[in-house]
Amino acid sequence: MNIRNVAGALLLIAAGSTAQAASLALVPAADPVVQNGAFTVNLVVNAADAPGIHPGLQSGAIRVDFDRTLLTYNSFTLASGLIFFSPLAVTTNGNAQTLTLGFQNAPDAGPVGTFSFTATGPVGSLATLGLVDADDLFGSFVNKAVSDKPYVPTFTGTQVSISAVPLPAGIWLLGTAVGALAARRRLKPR
Amino acid sequence: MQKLLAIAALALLALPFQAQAQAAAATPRSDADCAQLLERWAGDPKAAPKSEINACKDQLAAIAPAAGPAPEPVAAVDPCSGPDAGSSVLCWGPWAALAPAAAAPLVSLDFPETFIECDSVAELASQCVPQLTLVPPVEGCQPGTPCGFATIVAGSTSSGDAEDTAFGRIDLAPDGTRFSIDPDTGEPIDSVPMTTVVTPRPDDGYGNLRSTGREGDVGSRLIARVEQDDDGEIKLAADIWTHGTRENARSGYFAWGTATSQAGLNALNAGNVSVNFTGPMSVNNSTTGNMTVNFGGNPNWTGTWTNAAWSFGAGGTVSGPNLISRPDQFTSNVTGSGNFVQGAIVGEQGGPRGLTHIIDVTLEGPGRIKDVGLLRDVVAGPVIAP
Repeated sequence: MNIRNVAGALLLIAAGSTAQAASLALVPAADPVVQNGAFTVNLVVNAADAPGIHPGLQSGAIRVDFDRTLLTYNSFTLASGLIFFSPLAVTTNGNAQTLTLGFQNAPDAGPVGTFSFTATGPVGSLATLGLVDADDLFGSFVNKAVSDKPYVPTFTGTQVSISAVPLPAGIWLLGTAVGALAARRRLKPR
Repeated sequence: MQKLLAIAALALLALPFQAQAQAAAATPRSDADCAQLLERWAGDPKAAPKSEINACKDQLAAIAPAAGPAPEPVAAVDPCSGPDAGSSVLCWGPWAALAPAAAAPLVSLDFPETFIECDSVAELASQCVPQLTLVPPVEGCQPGTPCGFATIVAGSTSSGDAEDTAFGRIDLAPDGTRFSIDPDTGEPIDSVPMTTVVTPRPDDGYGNLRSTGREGDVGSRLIARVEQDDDGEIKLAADIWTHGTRENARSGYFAWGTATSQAGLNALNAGNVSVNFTGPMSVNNSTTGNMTVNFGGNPNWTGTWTNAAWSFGAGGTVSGPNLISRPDQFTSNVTGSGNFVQGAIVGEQGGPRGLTHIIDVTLEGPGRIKDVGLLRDVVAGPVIAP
């Protein structure tokens, strides 16, 4: 996890610390993201206000939806100490792709894991990552500390814009120098 | 001279009668005649000579023990065995409710439904021994059979006000793929088939069970702590159940196991052992339950339930695998009527063993509390010789 990931997660935790409800959120490591470049999105939990005993052991199943013409899913890495009760599954329906996974032993607040995607959409497009509870009937989230206490967190997805590949700074300098030389040559009296 | 002759004549005439009277006195009367004579004498003291009366008294007194009506067997005179048992002072136990005093409200005592059974403890018992038998509010468990209790609320949150929380019996398939609930009132609940996954739990030796299933709009789920045997069969389970549709779901908490077998109970009672059980309650899992079951000839139990805000204690009787509280053994902060703790011992010696139970008490301050919990036996550490 890079510094931006951590900073994003901490920001979300800080923001969530004043909230009254537990939450799950997707936090991209960067925005915009570069076309054809890989980027990461953190899944972050804040269940400090969830029912039950604290420090808690948070568990639940989530579903992430996105347009596969804009993003390509690469991998998911579970945070240290957590385990899957339902391993990640990928399903595709037309252009919509869905990632589903169930985790447990998450702390009250912090990253659950990190998704890796590649931005494959056209420059300027906005890729949306939806986040919902995988159990749309009763919900799946529980605080398992001591015994199981169910709760319904809020879910917040994210969006990333896809940008062109940035040219390295050296290219700009070289171009400037070449341009300057060309101009000087043209303007030089014969 | 004439007078002397007259007296002599009368004496001669009286002789036969005197002899007859003496003969009559000497001839034993039948017992029935004596009884009749005494009866007449009781109404008319001059009905017979005193000597006859005394003779009859002696006669009947002498024969009474042998010839009197045979005493009825103890059971036949047991005043609690007949249809009028409820009217016999020997059979009166505590009243379920006091008779209202003039213009006073009806005051209920702390008893759940009870009935009084009057046992003649031995053939020689001269009177019955009133025995209070407490009827469990929720159907009890049979030895060696699946046994669980559940709270039931409307909706899928599993929690609700105590007044809106019902109790019922729950049964669970040993592989966790189905459950059924028999509420105190209302329609039974049968889950749809579910798929299960059990994962390790980091803290307390339990596994984490998640079972979910869906048939059309109807779904079922269990999220539970479980303890399994080597074959993966669930032996103990507790926590969340949910069933229904999005608009019309019911849910609650539960505690389930298999009631200890009769052989297991016999061994525990024969050993006169005390077993301690402890664990969190499910509805309010900040509450810790501690119960001690004292096995033996007259098994009984005591328990406490404690959290940061309140605590109370209770005790009661054990019948087979079932436990039920006695109203007179609640701590003084348990108020009102209808309070009870009911449970059952589940599991066998050497395997996963616990105590499933429900509580319904009204406490001074916090008010009414309903909960369900699975407590596990506290395994004593090895005894270290001094």
